[in-house]
Amino acid sequence: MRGQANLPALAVALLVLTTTAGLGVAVADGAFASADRDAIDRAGAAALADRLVAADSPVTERRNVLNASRLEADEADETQAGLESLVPEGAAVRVAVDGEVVYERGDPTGSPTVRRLVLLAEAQAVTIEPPLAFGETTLPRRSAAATITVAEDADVETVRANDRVILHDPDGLSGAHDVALSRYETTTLRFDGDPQEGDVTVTYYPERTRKAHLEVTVDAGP
Amino acid sequence: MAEATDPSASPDDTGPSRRSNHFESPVTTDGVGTVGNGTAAPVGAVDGRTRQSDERAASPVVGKAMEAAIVVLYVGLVTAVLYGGVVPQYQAAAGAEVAERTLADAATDVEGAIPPEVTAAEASHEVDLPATIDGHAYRVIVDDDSLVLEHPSPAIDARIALVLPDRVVSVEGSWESGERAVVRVRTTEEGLEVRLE
Repeated sequence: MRGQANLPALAVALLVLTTTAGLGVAVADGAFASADRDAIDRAGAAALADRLVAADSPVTERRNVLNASRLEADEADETQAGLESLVPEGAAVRVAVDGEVVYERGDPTGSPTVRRLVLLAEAQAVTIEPPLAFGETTLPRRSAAATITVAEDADVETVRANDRVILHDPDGLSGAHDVALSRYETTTLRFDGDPQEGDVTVTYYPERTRKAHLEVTVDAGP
Repeated sequence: MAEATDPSASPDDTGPSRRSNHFESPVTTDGVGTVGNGTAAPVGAVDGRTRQSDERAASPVVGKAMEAAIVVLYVGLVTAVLYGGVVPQYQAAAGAEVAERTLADAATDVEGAIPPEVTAAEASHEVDLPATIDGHAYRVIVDDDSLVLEHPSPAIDARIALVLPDRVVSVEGSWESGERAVVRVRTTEEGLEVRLE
């Protein structure tokens, strides 16, 4: 056995090599497990979030601006139906705005969440009977639309908003009319025919917006 | 000298016995050929000493040859184990992950190709698909408003549901890997039609 004095050393060396190989395989396993990115769930959540903030979504007024009243309880059924048509089948979905759940189907806890910064817009209806000094009045808040109610005997034929004619009737305006105004500039309404206070009622819809976070979580299933 | 290293050697030993003591101790020789202790071959005649030195030189060669054979066997064993079990499993796992990401990117491209709400639109968008997944070609088909990746390996299978607006009325077509993949969106009377070409 004289020449085999190296054999135990060889055995130890091979043992060390085997251990190193085993450790390498374990590290590779760990790397694989941590590289799992749930690509399908993440893509589904991003796609749903983009659809929700698009201009033609059931909960938005325009792109990236959600309508706050549609998210509240009294409009819930319509919103739920609208969201149901967007959501992919067979997936567990949760949609939350500022932490409050707006729509939930199933339980997608643990799946990737996509966040979008949006504006929540609340519109109120404000009705005023303007004093009409010099036949004109300036609306204090910007509004995209207004409803102008003119009394019959006021003898108003034309209504202008910022020098743009929005209502005209040679026989005299009367009743309520919905008009579109510019959202970007302050509107001054001018009435010809010298109406008095009380003849004209203007209802306008100013919007208040605040930032909010939209969170969409999707679990696409097996 | 030998007398100093081997206290059991008698002072009138001849030269060859001193040579033998250099390799191993202690071997008692009395010049006649009987063995004192140890496992050495009988010494005595000059022939026996030559044979022993021949065998002594062969032993490390045998030892090294054995070590070389063991190492070669070990390398062969490890290679067989790796390529038999571990490597195909990792290739399949990597292929499945690539397939998922490819499908997710393809679905995002299809959804991004949908134009905003306009009267009439025709959009054409080229989609990047890898040439092979896990060494094989594959197909991407449409099944009930979902994209499905069909691959010959059973471990690689991916499906993603498309999130499309109500304006889209139909999604059809398929892509083959390795060929140019285009998504075309057209406005028809009923709505938008999406085709994978």
